Amino acid sequence: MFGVIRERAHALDMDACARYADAMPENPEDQQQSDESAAKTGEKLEIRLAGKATASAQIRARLTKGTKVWIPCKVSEGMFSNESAVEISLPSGEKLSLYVDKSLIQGTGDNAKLRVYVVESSDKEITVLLPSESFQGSRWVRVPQSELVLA
Amino acid sequence: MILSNQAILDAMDQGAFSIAPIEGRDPSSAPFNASAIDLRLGTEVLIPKKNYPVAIDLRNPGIAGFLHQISDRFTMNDHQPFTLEKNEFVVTNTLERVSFPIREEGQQCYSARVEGKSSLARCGILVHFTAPTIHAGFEGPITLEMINMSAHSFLLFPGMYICQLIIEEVRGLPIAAPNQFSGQTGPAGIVP
Repeated sequence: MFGVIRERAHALDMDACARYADAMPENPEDQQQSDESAAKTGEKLEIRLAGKATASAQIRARLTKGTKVWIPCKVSEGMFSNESAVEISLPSGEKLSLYVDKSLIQGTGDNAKLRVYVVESSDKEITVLLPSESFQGSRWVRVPQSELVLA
Repeated sequence: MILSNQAILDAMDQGAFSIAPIEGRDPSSAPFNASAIDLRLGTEVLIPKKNYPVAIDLRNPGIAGFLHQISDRFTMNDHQPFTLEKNEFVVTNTLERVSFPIREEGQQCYSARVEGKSSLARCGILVHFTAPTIHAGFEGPITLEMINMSAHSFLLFPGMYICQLIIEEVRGLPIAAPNQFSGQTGPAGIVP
C-alpha cells in the first residue's frame, strides 16, 4: 500500500538554488539591463533564487499565468533516450523525483534547470506547475517572490 | 468536451496544442478518427529486469533515476520488431511528441486521454492500464505501459498505430486549489 499521495505545493530549497547567484552580474546596472532586455525581447525567464536581490517590478508583472520560467534541479539519465530523470530539492531535505522530456532541461548534472509554467503569482510568491507528476505526488512548487532573480 | 477531428486540426492551427509529426492533415483519413487522433509506436522498449532483488519504493528520492537501472532498453527498427510475450509487461512511448501548454488567462487550455485501439484490444494487447491522462502542461512523447494478455506472442513494430488520443477542453485555469495551502506552515506550506 502506498502512502498518501499529496496534492500540494512545495517550496524550493534555497540552498539548492543559491548556486545560481554566482552567475549574477556584480554591477546592479548590468542586472537592470538584463531585466529590461528580457522584458523587451519576451525571452523565457529563468528564476534564480539568490536571496540577495529581487526582480524588477517590470519583470514581476510579466510573471503571469502561463509564463515559462526555469527552476534549478539535478538531472540524470531517464528511462527513454528522450527523457531525463529530474530531482528537485526541498528545504526539508525531501526531494521530488520525476521524468521530463529533455527539451525542458538546460544544463547537466547538479547544475541543470527545468522549464516550468507559472500558474499563480502574488506579491509574495509564485506557484509553478511541473511538466509531469512527481513520484511523490505533487506537480506544484512554490517559489517566494521576494527571492526571485531573473536572468 | 471532446474535440472532433476537425476541431483537433483547428486547435493545432491556432497553436493551442501540438502533436508532431502527424502523417496527414485530412480529417477523414489516418491518423484522424471521428473524435480522436491515432498515435504511432516509437522505437524504444523498456523491459523490466526480472528477478532483480529490490522492492520498488516510490518514497525513494532517487526513484526516477533508479528505474532505468532496473530496465533493459531495446531499440526496434523496421527489420527488427520486438516480440511481446504473453503476460509480459514493457514500457514504450509514442513516436509523436505532444505539447499541451498552460496558456495565458482567457485562452483555452487542453488535456488529453490516451486510449487503446480496438484492433489491438482484440489481440489482447493493453497499451495502457492505469495512466491515461495527459495533463495540461505536459510536453513530450506519451509513455505507454503495455501488457500482452493474449495466449500468443505479439510483434511490435515502430511506427505502427498503437493508441488513440482523445483531446478535451480544460474548463478554467489549471491552478492549485486554494485549500491546498491553507494552514500549512512547513516547507510545503506558506512561506513566511
